[in-house]
Amino acid sequence: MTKFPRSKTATLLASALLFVALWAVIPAIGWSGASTEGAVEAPAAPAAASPVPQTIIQRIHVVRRIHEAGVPVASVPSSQPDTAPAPVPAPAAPPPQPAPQPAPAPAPCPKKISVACSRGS
Amino acid sequence: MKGWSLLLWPLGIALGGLVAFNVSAQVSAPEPPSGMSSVHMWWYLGRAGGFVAYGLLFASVALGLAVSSRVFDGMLARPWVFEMHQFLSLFVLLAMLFHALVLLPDPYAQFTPEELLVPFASPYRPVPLAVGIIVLYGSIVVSASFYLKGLIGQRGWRVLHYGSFALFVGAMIHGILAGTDSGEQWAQLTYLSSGLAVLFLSLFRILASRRVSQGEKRAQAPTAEPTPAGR
Repeated sequence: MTKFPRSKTATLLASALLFVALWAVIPAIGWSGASTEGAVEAPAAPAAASPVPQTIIQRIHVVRRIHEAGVPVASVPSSQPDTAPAPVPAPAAPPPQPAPQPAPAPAPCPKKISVACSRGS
Repeated sequence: MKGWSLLLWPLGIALGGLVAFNVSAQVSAPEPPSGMSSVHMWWYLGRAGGFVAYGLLFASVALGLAVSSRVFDGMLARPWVFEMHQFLSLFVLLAMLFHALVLLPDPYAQFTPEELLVPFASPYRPVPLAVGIIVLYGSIVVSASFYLKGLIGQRGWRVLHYGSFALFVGAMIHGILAGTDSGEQWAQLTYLSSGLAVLFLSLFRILASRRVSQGEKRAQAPTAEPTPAGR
């Protein structure tokens, strides 16, 4: 530090400032470009996890709406294709839909494997 | 001092850009997680430390190339460039060690000192991590060569200094493959711009050395050959 002490001090200070600025910026960006930190940690449940196919859910919704409106089922034009079976009389209450399985809670990461899966690329 | 202001300008611009980016990121994200309160605090510290170490290594390599190629002659005083090159080569060692050792308390990664200091000992991205560890040891050797020049001689010192190019490339590979910010545009721009700058300075250095050697040959040529008047 004997020669050019001001330059060296300025380099140290600039490095420290850059470090603090990066430390502030990186958490705001999140994992691998995600907008928030939790975005990657709580992924949406995959569609395949739902036990009820999507078409059946839509039909249940249509039947429920018809039932609530009091319109006879036969008078409503069916949007189903001709080959589809005739709509069944609406039940009093639609069968309870099983809720989609929530995303598995982030278990305490087992050593090494967790690093690969949670840090992203 | 002229060199002083020239060094501070790009640093100031970089810091200003980072602060502006930070402000805009905080505006867009309602509740950004704090680096201090997050469970990933140690990982954030390691990533920030890694980028600072990479920046210092880049600056040290660039100033070293500037010393040998004299590309900054007229803009920066040569003693200042040499002294800062030597200073940065030591400072970058501290930054590299900090970058590695600050990951030790990370509860997610659970690195051991052996995994962070022995190449291929870590199961997390073993090859990029090993490259980073080798870069650390190589940087120690190159920095030590400043003080062992009398022992290893000019030729040995020069050979070791050529290795610093490989160390810089290794640091870049380590950052790209082991870093979790490599998908970010700002990180890619950092790697690209620094790599291109070192490539440009290296080419300038090669061309400058060729020019010098050709000039020396021309200067020696008239004395070696007999002059027409002497026939």
